[in-house]
Amino acid sequence: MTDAAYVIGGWGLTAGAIGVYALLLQRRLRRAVRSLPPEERPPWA
Amino acid sequence: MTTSVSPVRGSRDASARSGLLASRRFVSVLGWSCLVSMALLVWLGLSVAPTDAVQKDAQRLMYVHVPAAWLAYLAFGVTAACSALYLWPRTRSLHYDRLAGASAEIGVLFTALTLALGSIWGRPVWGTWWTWDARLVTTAILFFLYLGYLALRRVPDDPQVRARRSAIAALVAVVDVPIVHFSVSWWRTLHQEGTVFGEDRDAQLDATMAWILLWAVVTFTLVYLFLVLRRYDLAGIEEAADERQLERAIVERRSEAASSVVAAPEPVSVAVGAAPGSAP
Repeated sequence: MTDAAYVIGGWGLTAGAIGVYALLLQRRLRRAVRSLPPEERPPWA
Repeated sequence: MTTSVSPVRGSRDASARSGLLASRRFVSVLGWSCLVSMALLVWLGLSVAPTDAVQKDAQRLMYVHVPAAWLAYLAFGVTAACSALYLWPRTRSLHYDRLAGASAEIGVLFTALTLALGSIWGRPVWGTWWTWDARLVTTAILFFLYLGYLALRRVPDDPQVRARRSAIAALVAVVDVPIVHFSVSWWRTLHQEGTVFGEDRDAQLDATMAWILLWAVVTFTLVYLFLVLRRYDLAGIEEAADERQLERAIVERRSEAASSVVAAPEPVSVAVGAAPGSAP
C-alpha cells in the first residue's frame, strides 16, 4: 500500500468515527426527548 | 451561552435533573463551526501542509493522531476534575457526575481513535501495526481503564452511590494520563518524543506544520465541546425519563397495594362462613 492509502484511511476513519458517533448521539437524543411527556421536554425539543 | 448548572444535591425532581448545559442556539452554532473547521482542516492537512522530508506523506496522519491524543487527555482531565468536584462536599452535585460520564465516553472514543491512527501511521513508518512499546501499552491500558469506568457507571444503584463510586474510579484511572504522556521520556521507546517540542523545549517543527497542527487541535477541541454538550443533554434526559418511570412504578405498586387492602375483607367473610340471616 502507498503512504497516500494510509493517510486517506486514517483521515477517513477519523471523520467516520466522529460522524457516526455524532449521528448516533443525535438519534438517541431525539428518542429520549420523545419518551418524555410534553411538559417535561426541554425548550428546544 | 446560557448555563443551567445548579446544585441538585440529591433532588428527585425529574425536570430539574434534565437541565441543559448550553442553549440550543449555542450548540447549533458550535456544530456548524465544527463542520467548517473540519473541512478547512482537511484542506490544510492534505493539501497545504508541506511533505515531510523523512516520512513523506505518511506524516500527514500527525494532524489527526496528535489532536485525538490531546482530546483523550482533555476528556479524562475533565472527568477527573468533575469527579473531584462531586466528591468535594461543598460542590457535590449530580450535574458534575453526569458531565464526568459524558466526557469519559468521548475520551474513550478518542483514545480508541488515537490507538487506531497510531497503528495506521506505524505500519508505513515503523513497518508494524503494533509493538509492545511503553507509549502504546500505557495508552491501551488507559483505554481499558476508562472502558471499565463506563461499565461501572452502568451498574444500577442509587444515583448518589453510583456517582461516588464512579468518581473514585475516575480519580484512580486518571493517574495513567501522566504516565502515558511521560512514557516516551521515562523509557526508551520506539515512539518518538514530543512532536512540537523536544527535551530542550525548542520547537522541532516547521512553522506551517505547527500552525496546521494548532488548527487541528482547536478543531478537535470544538468537536469535543459539541459532543460533550450533546452527551450531557442526553444523560440528563435519560435520567429524567428513568426517574419518571420509577415514580410511575411506585404509584402503580401503591395503588395495587391499596386495592388489595380494600378487597381483603371479602375472603375473610367467606372463610368465617356466616350463614345469611344468622346472629352476629
